[in-house]
Amino acid sequence: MTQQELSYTEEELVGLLKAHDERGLSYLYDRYSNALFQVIYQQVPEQVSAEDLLQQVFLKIWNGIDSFDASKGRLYTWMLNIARNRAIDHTRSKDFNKQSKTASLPENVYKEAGTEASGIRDVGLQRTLEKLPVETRRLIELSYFQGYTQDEISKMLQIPLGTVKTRIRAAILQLRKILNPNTVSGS
Amino acid sequence: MDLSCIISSGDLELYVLGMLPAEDAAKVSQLAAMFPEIKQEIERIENDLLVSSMNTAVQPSASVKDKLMQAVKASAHTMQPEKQAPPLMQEAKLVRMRKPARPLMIAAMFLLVASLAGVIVLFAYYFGQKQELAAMEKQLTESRQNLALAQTRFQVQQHLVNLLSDEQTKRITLAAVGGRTNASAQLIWHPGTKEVFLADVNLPAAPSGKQYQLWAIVDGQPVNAGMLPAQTDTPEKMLPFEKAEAFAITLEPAGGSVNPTLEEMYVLGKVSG
Repeated sequence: MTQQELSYTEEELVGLLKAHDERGLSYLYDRYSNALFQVIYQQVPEQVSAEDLLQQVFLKIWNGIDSFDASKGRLYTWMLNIARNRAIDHTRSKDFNKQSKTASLPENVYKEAGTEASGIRDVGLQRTLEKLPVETRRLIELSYFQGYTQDEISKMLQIPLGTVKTRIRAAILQLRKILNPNTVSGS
Repeated sequence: MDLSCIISSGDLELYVLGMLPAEDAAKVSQLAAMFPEIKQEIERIENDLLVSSMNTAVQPSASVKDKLMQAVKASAHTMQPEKQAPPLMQEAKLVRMRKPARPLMIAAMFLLVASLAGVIVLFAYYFGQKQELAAMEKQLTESRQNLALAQTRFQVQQHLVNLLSDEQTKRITLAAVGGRTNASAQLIWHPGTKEVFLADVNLPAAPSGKQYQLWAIVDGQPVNAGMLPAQTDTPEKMLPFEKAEAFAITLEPAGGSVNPTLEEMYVLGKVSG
């Protein structure tokens, strides 16, 4: 992990990437690779395959940077989606044999959304996720790691959309305390 | 507008994590553009997330970055011919511009003596330059092609490594049949993704006019699984199969046959399990 004395604003970074300046890619990797790797590893808990996918994801970002629209959201968010989707595609192609064709929900929904299985070994985050009710943990699994929209989750689990929103928000507010203990929590 | 309300709602965290519905996310984008306080909060959240991601036990190894930067450098050379061409042209122009002083002087002398001879010398010089340029461009194209080929081979190798670590992947040894010696091949098959790869192909060179063909035995019947290329030193992707009981390679007329010539079978391997 290189020491970052230099830091770019989002605008500068996007500029470098669009100009195919490799310094931009190097900075991008140093700053974001761990976070993207975690999302991938949660779906593909195998070091070599996950690393393979991480490389593919960064190449996809590098080659597809022109389709990033800064007015729609953060670069990080856009990259998160790419990583998520790539990992899910990989899992789906492997699970092809196991799934029956009539199943409408992925197997992961029924998997216990424990943090051991999800590969998150950060103790603080693990403890927080374990404090959350199982139902809420499952929502985070579906929403953050699998990229389902709140609307899709509501339909899949037959829970009112309002409930899905409230639970996810509550989980985020709890997670926020872990991410930054100095944050003033909202009510 | 009460910004503190938005900031404490959790919506900004959801926005960064990509968990907000599209219209809500668009609203947050607009707010961030209008209010620096919101933009800063978003940046702070993202930073906290990234910092916490550094503390986990699960991390990519350092080699991933090296491979990534190498792959990017390699494709920078193959994928941007327009950017490559101008420097080459400039060099050629420079050479043209530097050297003419001499032939021009010489030409001038010739012109003094015999004008026709001088013109011929100039023509010969520029023609030589053109040929050199053409040769350099040809070399560049070949290098690009070699790089692209090497990249593809590398990707295939990497993909095979992945496949081999998958428990569903079947690895079948195609062994020599019919009293033949010095014939074997490895076949890698993933019934889920249907991918079939041939690797470590050890077969005598096909005589001219003939070509090796791979067959999959499906429900007792041989089905074409693809022709082998003349060069078999790297793994080759063959036709996809969802099920098969065995695989075999026969020597057929170039271009292949509808049905295998059984007397020309070189290797065979049964699928176990």
